[in-house]
Amino acid sequence: MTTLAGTIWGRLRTSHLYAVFKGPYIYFGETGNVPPVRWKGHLTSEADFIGKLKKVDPAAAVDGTPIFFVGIHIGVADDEPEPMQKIARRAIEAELHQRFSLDPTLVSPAINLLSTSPSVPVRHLFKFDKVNVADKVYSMIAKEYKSWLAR
Amino acid sequence: MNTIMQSIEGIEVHAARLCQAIARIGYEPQIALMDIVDNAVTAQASTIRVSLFLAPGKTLKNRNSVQRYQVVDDGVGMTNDEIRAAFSLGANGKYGPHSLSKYGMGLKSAGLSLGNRIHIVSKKDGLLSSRQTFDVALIAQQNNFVIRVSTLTPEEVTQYGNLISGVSGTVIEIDGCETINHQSSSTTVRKLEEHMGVVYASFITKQPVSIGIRVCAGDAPDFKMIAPLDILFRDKAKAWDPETYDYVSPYLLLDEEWNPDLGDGKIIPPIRLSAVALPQDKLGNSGSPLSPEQQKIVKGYQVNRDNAGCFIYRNGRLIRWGDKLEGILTKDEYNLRIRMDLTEEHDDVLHVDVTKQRLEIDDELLARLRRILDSSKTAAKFVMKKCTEYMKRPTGSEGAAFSERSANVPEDDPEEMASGSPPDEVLQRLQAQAEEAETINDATKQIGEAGTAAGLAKLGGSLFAKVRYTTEVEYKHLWTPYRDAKEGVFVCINTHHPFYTEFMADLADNSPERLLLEALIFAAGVGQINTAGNLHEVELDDIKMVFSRFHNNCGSYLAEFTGENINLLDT
Repeated sequence: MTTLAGTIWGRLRTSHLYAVFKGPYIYFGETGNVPPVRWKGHLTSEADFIGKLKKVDPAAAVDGTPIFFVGIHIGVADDEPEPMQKIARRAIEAELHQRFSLDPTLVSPAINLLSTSPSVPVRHLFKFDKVNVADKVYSMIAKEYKSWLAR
Repeated sequence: MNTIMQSIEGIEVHAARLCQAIARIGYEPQIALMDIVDNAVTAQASTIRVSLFLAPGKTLKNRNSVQRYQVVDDGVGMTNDEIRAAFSLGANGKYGPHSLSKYGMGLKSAGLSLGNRIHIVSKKDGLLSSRQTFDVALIAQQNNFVIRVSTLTPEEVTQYGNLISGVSGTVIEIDGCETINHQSSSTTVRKLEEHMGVVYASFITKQPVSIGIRVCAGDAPDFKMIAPLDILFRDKAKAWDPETYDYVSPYLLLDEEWNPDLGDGKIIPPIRLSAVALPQDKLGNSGSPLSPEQQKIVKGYQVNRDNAGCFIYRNGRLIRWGDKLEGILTKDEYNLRIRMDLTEEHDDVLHVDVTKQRLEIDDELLARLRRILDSSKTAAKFVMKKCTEYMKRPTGSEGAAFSERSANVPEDDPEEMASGSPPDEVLQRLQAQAEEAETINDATKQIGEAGTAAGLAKLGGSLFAKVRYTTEVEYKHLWTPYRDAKEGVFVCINTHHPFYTEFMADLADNSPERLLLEALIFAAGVGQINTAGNLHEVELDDIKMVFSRFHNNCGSYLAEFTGENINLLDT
């Protein structure tokens, strides 16, 4: 059978947040590039998604459960001055971790978090409201994930 | 098939021993009294009066000095049957929604932790009850759970009628206190006064209920009234803004609903979570840079380790004061106050115990709570650090200390020191540098003693400002050097660059760390100015191109380093 395995589009060197799902596990991250550049590491590096999964659930890391990636372009982070873009992404990533912890049911059954929240950049203000952006990112991730689950 | 024989048999209950056990559940006197006050609140009282009667010859400072405790309310009151039901163990579990009661043990366990006899006289619909007494000695004598019912004497009818002057209300009295080891009554009263305003804040405000306390030593002084207090000072809290932090206001760091769903299919309402960071208490001292009015405000927060942590409310009533949430909060975060609002619907998931003073959060929920509170903890630490730096910041002018210390340091190019008069090309370059400096000098050189202005360097006084903090720097660069025709090199440091906002801005303006960073940046500036001015063998445009790339790289690296090391100074 031939089926679509997913699509990705976007400009190189732009700000993204993303989530990785496998079974009951979830991982959030950020990148300053189009997400597949970063995602490769999550399938190979011991410090990233698959490596962390091996540590907590070795069987799940190698079983046949499909893996699901979703990336969200964060235009407001790109609108920040270049030196501030990474910090802006980190701020949203930290907020995204908090959104998940406040209510993981949006992405159930993936309620086991593998990623670690970055330290919150409390000294910086941005042109955008990080809580609103993280809320939107979380609901977009949840919607894509649920719609993939339903397929 | 074999039949298994079964029988149901009674077991012995040692009534007096059971009374001793429930009296030892672990109450301090003020906690026990508040548990009794809870019943009055549940009975919709609008007035509650707590009296401690000292034993003859005892003072406030003596331990075990109370002869009798008395709690009087004007709630709905009880009939004789209802008083008897209230004395039963595990009394009447039919509580309305959001009741403060839970297991029907509070009156007995709290009362018996204060004394050996609990007396109740109540009035309902204008009808005064008899006096019913739960007496441990009588129970021991009978080896059975019994109460003593006494008809009121005419004097007692007058006495209790005066105490309950309305159509309904209840008087609870506890005596037989002399055999129970208690803290001094002054400690009990102090803790009641300190805590009750926080514990019952929402009831005092909304029900409304007035609560008064007094200690009687053969007299009948006025009651001291309890004022409601939101220990998070949320009505005064500002939204978090690191750039305009004012060292006085509480700052609201979190105000969210937490869904404690464990994925087990049970539907539980969300828990409201709030967090506030307060300024350091030291800023309330007379030596602080704040005005006397501001100092008074800061002192009013009573920021200390005892008043830090999570304040857990159940149905609007505080049940945990300053909980450290299994180590999520540490003793160092004493300017952080968190409020968690539970209802009885969370009792099972959070394992609220019989005294409603303790709860146990399982590991999964604790891990989530830790992540939720992480940003508040970080912001609170940042506030603490800002306050510390503010306390020791003597100049208020960034760059002033370096300018002073470097005033006599030569800025010569060692390559040029042995040569004679500079060639024309060098003189032209120096002239061009001076003209370029003029364009920025006025916007950044100094702004007088009155304060700072946007886009201007923050350095007062007549000293030539060698290091200037300004936004007048290319946005990617951390600094740009210039040479003033008369005074020599000065460096503009970019206050929009994340390396500045994350790290440098946190260092006191005259701290050794700040001075050393300024010295490194200034040295790089001297190197650039001298190279561009003196290295006439290389085309100026080429030199400028090299330094532009150099600054792009430095600025970019430092921005990335900053992004990877957020809050480094807090660790």
